[in-house]
This record gives sequence, structure tokens and C-alpha cells, in this order.
Amino acid sequence: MAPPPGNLTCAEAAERVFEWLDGELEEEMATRVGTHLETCAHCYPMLRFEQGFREAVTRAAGGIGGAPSELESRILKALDAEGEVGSTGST
Amino acid sequence: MSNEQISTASFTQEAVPELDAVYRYALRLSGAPDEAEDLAQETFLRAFRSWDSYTPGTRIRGWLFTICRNLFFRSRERAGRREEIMAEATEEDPRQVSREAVVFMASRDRDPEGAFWDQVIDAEILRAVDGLPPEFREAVVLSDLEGLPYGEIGQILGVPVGTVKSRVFRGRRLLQEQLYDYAVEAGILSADSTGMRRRARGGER
Repeated sequence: MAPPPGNLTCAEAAERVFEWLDGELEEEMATRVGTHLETCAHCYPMLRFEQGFREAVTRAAGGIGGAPSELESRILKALDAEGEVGSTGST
Repeated sequence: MSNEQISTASFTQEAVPELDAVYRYALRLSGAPDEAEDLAQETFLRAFRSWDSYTPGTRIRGWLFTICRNLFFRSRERAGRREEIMAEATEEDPRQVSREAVVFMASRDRDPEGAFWDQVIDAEILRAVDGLPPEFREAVVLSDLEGLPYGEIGQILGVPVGTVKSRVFRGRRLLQEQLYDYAVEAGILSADSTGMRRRARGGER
């Protein structure tokens, strides 16, 4: 019998799907998990499902936007005040 | 240039560009834009005062997040909300949240590859993230919203990488369950005709 793709069982590959998607696996294991998930007919739909979920969350995160524009100037002003206090103290 | 000027310049160059990320993180922690602004500002002031203790070249975002997080929890404690926070934190025992792809198993007969994720609106995803128990919310925010690696998340939260993984994975499963319910209610995903409870374990692995 041919070894399973990536030489991993479906369970072994599936339990690493998040680490694989997050790029947290060592190179050799990442290659094996990737090979398995992308070529195993049983696991591929699960991979697509997790990728779809991850992309949706990333998309939502991208829509949050940044700090209000006046916040940066407020902070810079506060830092300036701190800096002046600092230099007065040291001279 | 004096030392103070140099340190102000390097701080402005290295730390201030992280403002958007710090603000977003503060917003997820506090849930209120006003509080998030104050929290972000206080974070940068604290960071500036301890700029000497920052090791150049290390990940500055994680360093700022740590400061932000400490400030947030301290302000909540001052406001006498410690008990509330603790009670909230123990509401859901992490060990009872499955690491298995329960939603995938429950929906694959109707949507084998999870195409419905595309239809779930951003606001609903963020609402679901905000509704997670705190332990999971923090892990999911840092991992999925901010894209930090497990190691850095561990440093921010003060927990080992194994704990980070466990919280991220279980947090995502909880999130999937929340969003699955929404998808069915919103008609994005047809209702489970088999009547199988979504939390029910089952199916071959």
C-alpha cells in the first residue's frame, strides 16, 4: 500500500492545519502537512473550509481601520511636553 | 543633538508608526473608541518613558501591546472591576471547548468547502470576536486580527507557546460556532435538515 500523502495520516495532518496556515511549523513538517492537505481528497475540503474562515477573519480585521487622525498629533504633542520635562531635568 | 533629542527622534521613528496597531488593539481590549484613544495615548507615554529599556531591533509591536495590556488591566482594577473580569474569565472552562472542527463536520453536507465564509459580514465577525471569553478573545485578536506569531503572543500574555496554541485553536472553534449560528439565522447557510445538534461530536476523522 502506498504511504499516505506527506507520509502523514489524515488525523496527523488535520491536527496541524492551524499551525500550517499560521506558518508556525518547521520547514520539513510544513512541507509534509501541505502535501497531505492539498492532495488528500478527504482532507482538502477541510483545508478549504479553514482557509475560508481565516480569510474572512483577516478581511474583517482589515476593515477596522486605524487610529483617528487627530490622535497622532495629540500623542506627539504629549511626547514633546515629556521631552521638555526630561531635558529641563537633566540640564 | 542631546540624548533626549536622539531618544525622541528614534521613538518617533520606530514606535509612533505602530499607532494604528496599538489603537486597534486598545479598541478590542476596551470596546470603546474614547477609552481606546486614551489607552493608546497612555501606552505611548509609558513607552516613551521606558524607551531606554526597549532593545532596538526586537519586535516593537509586541512590546507596545504588552504595555497597553498592562495599562488596560490596571485601569480596570482601579475601577473596581477586578471581580467582574475574573468572573468573566472563568465563565467558560477552556478544557470544555473542542479543538475539533465541529462546524466543518456539521456543515459539510450542505457546503463542503465552507463557501459560506465569504458571505459572513465583517461586523458580524468582529462582534463574534468581541463576544468570546477573554482568554480566547485575547489570543484570537493577537493571532488573527494582528497576525502575531505564537511566540510573541506568549510573551505578551505571559504564557507558554503551548497555551497560546490551545487558546488560539479553541478560540477559533468557538468563533466558528458563533458564526455558524449567524450564517444559519441569516440564511447564508441552509438550516441543518438532519436535526443533528451542531455541538454533537461525530463523523469520521
